[in-house]
Amino acid sequence: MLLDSLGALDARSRRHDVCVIGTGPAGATIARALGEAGLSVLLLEAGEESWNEASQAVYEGDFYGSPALLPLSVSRLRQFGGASNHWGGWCRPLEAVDFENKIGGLDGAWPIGRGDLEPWLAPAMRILQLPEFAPDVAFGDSLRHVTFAYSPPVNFASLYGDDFRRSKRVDLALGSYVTGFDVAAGRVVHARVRDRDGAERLVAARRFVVCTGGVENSRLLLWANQQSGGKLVPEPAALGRYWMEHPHFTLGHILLESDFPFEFDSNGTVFIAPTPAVIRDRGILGFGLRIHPAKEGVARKLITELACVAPGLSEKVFQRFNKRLVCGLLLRASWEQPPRAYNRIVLSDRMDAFGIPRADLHWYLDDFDRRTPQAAVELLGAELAARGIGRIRLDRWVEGLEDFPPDDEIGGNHHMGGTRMSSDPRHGVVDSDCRVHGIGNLYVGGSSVFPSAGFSNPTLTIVQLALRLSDHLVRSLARDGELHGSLRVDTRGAA
Amino acid sequence: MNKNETASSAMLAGRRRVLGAIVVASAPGVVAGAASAATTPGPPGPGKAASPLPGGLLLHREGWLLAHSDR
Repeated sequence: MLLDSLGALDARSRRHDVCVIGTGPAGATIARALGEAGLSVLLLEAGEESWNEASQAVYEGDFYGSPALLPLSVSRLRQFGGASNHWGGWCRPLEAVDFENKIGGLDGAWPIGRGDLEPWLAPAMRILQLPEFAPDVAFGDSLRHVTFAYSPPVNFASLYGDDFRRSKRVDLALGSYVTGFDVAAGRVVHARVRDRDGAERLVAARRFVVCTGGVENSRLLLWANQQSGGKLVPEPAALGRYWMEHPHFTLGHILLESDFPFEFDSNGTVFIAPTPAVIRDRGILGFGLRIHPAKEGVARKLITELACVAPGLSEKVFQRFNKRLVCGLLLRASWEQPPRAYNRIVLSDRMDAFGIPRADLHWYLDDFDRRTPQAAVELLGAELAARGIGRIRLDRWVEGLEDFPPDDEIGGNHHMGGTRMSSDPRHGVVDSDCRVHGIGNLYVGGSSVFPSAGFSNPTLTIVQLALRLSDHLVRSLARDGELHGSLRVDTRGAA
Repeated sequence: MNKNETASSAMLAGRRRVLGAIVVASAPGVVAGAASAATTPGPPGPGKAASPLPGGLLLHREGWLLAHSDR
């Protein structure tokens, strides 16, 4: 049910099984799955039903680095449903290679593998209303034509909001901003919650799950840990660090001498990715080349330029151009960023309207972020040339002649890392069950737990992890004898 | 903070046009706290010319990746 305010809980003196903080894809998925399994859930959302300027202003923060990502107050949303109010719906699961430590020294290995998330793939696809994925098609020995599946996109507030409003097990409170936790004997006793009037209330629960987003999870735990005197995150070395995006840049254009062999999907895109073997063998990270029809006029310009270095080939393409056949394609890419400790969320000197430090983001691209797209164009260029399909004209930054262009897309608004998963508390914040190391009943949901990012958009993996965490919570509460009544322990049927 | 560390409104406005799905606009935060930036270990400097395109499979001429038979 929807609570008018947290004050409504006082009269009931109710201690919920689980307090879920945040209503984006992670939090909403966990709250639904736990409610369906028979647990009592308190679902807290700091924002309101709809976007409003005052709430969104809490998300303002400073950016340090180059090139600049979108401002933190733009790339995320503080309202019911969270980022699902503005996501694009692109989905693809992580692959087995994405869970490996692909490159020595980068420390990007997950303590779980693809097989650990596989049971949650089908239910996650139902939640996101995804069609089946088409199989990959080999494009030479090194590359694959891959597809994404597109969610409508599902907005968790509009599609699943009534589930919470009607639920007898899930209590939903909007305008409820969690700002800290009381810790005793290695467990969270209370969450400290500011209501929309600024009053602080204490919320008790058997388990707490922080699902406030890929920046806010770090911010909340950094601040709450500071306030607790270091008791909340006893091993804070990785907290806020290893933050990642998927760099998004234009690489250049393709000039076609024959028909392009793949059809554009419903978004006008063809995706090309490396094989797992070439990732391992060449010491690169994952990438997704995104090929679109080029703008009008581009092909003619490229044909003229090509005449200076390969006149015979230019003439061949010009004949094709005169037949009004497609000659020019735009070549873009997003790729996997190496996890770096210096890319991180820190607490700002500036405070939000509630007196809580804002989040500052430090984010840099390094030489490795050039190596992966360079390998991508080399592999694609070789395949296009060998098959007589076309040639690639590179943008100057790809050649190493200029810095990363500051006016490109830069990132995908995929905020990952900061509370990374690791079996070693010195290198991560949460364990393989998404539980904060050293704290018995505090968990983190969302892409902030990713130790590395693959090249796929993160939302499908976020929902898979959320369902897996839900299953763990049900089982751990049942195992510890903290539940009463009947439970449906297996949450894989969640839909 | 070096000269590349910026969040100029012009570049951000350009990217807002690219990302049309994001409708909420806000002034970017302007970096003021150089002290906290100084505590971040090891961020790279500008990447210009740091990593030239490797050769091998293709000829690299005037920005084009060509087959050896193209010239």
